[in-house]
Amino acid sequence: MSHPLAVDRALAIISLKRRLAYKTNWVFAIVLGGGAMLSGLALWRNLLGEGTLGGYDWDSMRAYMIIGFFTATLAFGGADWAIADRILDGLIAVDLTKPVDFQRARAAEFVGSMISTVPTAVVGTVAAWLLFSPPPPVSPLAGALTLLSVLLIFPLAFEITYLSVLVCFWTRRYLGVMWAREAVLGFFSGLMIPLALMPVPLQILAWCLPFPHFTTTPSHIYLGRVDTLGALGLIAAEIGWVVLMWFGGRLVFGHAVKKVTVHGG
Amino acid sequence: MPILEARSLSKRFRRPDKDSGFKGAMKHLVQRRYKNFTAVDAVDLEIEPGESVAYVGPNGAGKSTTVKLLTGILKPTEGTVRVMGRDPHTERIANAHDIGVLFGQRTQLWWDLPVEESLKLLKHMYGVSEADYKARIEKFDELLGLGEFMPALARTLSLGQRMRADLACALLHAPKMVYLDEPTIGLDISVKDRLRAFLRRLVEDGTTLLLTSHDLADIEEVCDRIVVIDEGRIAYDGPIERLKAHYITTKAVNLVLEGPADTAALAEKFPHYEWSPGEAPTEVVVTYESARFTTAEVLGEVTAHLRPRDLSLSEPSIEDVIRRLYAGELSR
Amino acid sequence: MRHAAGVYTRSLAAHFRSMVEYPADFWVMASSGALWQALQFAFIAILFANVSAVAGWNYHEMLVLIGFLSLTGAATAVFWDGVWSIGSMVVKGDIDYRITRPAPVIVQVASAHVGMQAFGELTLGTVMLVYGWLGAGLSPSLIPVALLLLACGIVIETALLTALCAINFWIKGGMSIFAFLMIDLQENVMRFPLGIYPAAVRVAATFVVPLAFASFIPAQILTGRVSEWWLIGPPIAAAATVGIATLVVRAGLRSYDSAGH
Repeated sequence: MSHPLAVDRALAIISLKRRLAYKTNWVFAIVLGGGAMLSGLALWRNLLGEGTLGGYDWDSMRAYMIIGFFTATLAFGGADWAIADRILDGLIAVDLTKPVDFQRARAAEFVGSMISTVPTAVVGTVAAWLLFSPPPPVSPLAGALTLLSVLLIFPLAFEITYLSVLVCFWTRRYLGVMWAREAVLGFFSGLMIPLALMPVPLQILAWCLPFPHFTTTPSHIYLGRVDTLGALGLIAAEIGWVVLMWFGGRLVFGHAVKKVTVHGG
Repeated sequence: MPILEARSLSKRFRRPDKDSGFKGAMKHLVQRRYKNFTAVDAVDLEIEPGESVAYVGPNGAGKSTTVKLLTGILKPTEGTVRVMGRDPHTERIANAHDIGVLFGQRTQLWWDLPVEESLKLLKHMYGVSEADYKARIEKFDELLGLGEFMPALARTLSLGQRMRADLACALLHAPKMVYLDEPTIGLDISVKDRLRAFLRRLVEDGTTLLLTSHDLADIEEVCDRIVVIDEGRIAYDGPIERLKAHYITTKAVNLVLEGPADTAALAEKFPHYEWSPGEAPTEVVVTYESARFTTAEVLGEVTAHLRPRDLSLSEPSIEDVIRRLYAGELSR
Repeated sequence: MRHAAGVYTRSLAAHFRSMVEYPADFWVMASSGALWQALQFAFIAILFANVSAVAGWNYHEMLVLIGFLSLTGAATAVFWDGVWSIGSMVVKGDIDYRITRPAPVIVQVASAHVGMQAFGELTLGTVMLVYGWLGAGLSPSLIPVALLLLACGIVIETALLTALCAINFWIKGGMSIFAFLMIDLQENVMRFPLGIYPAAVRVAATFVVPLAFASFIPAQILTGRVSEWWLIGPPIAAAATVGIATLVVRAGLRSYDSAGH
């Protein structure tokens, strides 16, 4: 089952257009993500003052939080409900009969919807930049590599969402699964609190999972907490996860389809 | 003493008059313009206890709005409504005890609960005694087959099951006045039959019924009076039989001939009938005034001269009349 | 009034019974709620492994604050979760049936759904509160006060949520953006002692949207940070928010014109 890239592109564009049609979403997304970032900034300013914690001073923590806001807006912005609804409403039966690779199609749609959140993320980030003036990247190369690591978040976010949605084959309800995924992602990415502050066993656990690449990897590269070699290593790890979870997704999907009881219908 | 009295009932809505799209929305922010839209225009309606009234009209005619005014969901812009002496809007809760409502497009079942639980909650809400409740559930089971899906969650029901359950909900407290808005929409024929039989029983037992439906078979089988509304105004109000007798003056026979039908030639040969092409090239429809000719006469003449291979009689139906009423072809 | 209470409790009870009969949904939702709370707990624990106080609040006092917050939020989701669907009910015309039934509309709507994730939140929220209480050395004589404050907090949150969801009577849409914003405010801002925020935020969270009276001020009272005179605050805020919510809901129902089919 393979289909041309043109189909991918078409699906991504449809998804993007649909998202852009809901103008209120923009403001909504900025305010929601922005609230968490602002309260986080208030907390850390209070705690850090002139000092440092886990190697972060107020300057670097500002950059950390803003990067976290940017990536979170992208990662949480994807239209996961669309995929979840399709599975839950039994539409998957229809999709399976179309000559289109289900996973690739959903990936294209999801990435399309993520792209629609880029303007929002950019606007919010620029505003935060102007308000809080965080330090610039440690070097132009670091800046470029940060961007690269952020681009990899697109497929990463899709795959984590996709896998969590596949759970619907067994649980029949999506809301609880979505909340669980967001909680785990927020915690183990370092968005809630930098990984450096966690006890070592928890840090090890986090790095065994794909989540740190959402916040910690880009900020590490940006702040120069890893050198160029380290940055490339992190990016390689990201790519590794992208590949692993893509095929993992296919595996789970295959199992699920065999087991499927189409909901309703 | 009428159970329902509406006098000069009117409802006007104010809708924002704006262009579509973003520019339109922006313009509307600065310059607010509104259009007045009259959904119901000076409707007079009187229903006696025990009547079963059909309320018909084309889409957008004001049927649903009228029902919402009568049930107290909307407040009239002008005019009055009295149901059993009460204003259904201002005396909402007192009125609610005496009416039953079914909106075909929506459900009043609790979504996350089994049907049985929904009915029990309504039992308490309406203050139905345990004995009455048991008796009525049994009756619903007998007539609607409710028992088979009582323990099922509302969200797992098929449309037919859901409609039957909603009907039970509407009638659980044995209301004297029942409003049914599209109760058979989307149902298959066996469920429709069952529902109609049930409603006929209801009317026989003395319940007053107001029914809106696009399915005119519903109306012919259940109601004896028909009110037609068009563009917010009543176009006809009277017994169904009178409507048919008044407006249905013709009957028709569908003929299947041996060869292609030449409508023009037939019209020349038999000018006292009206001839129109049928569905296939060999088919033709002959329409005749039922006052002037009996069916036997027509059949005799036609079969003798044309020797049709097959024929069928079309029953006079109110659908035709309604269609013509909607199209404004008939005067009030 | 008593009839309304009966309608409410029966509906809620029916939902609880249904949860027991169909436990799969319940466990998924409750577990995800518990997971959130567990991670919140972990967050605080990790934070205080690195610092000793946040704006003068120590570890156990923070747990009292967050526990209080969790309990009020969870109770709202258990006892009044139906209000979230006001928006979609207005759009789909489902309010019609509630008007034709002999019970207050808002009671029917609010009791039509139970947020099962709250059961997970309730358990861990209680754990945090109790753990913090004991660790902070709060006296048992404060328990009645705490219960009163908790009740007020629940009422305040419920009333504010209702008023914000009721805005959907005018601004048509499935989800109430303002209600979402309030929950977001609750979760991000009210988690921490208001001392870390600029004055404008403190004022807004206390007097504009009186969420502070639901969690922060009670925590302040219990940890002895403010004088007992502040005890008047939460009940007054509760009464005021209920008044506002009632007005908004009534106005909303008056303006309801059952658009759509």
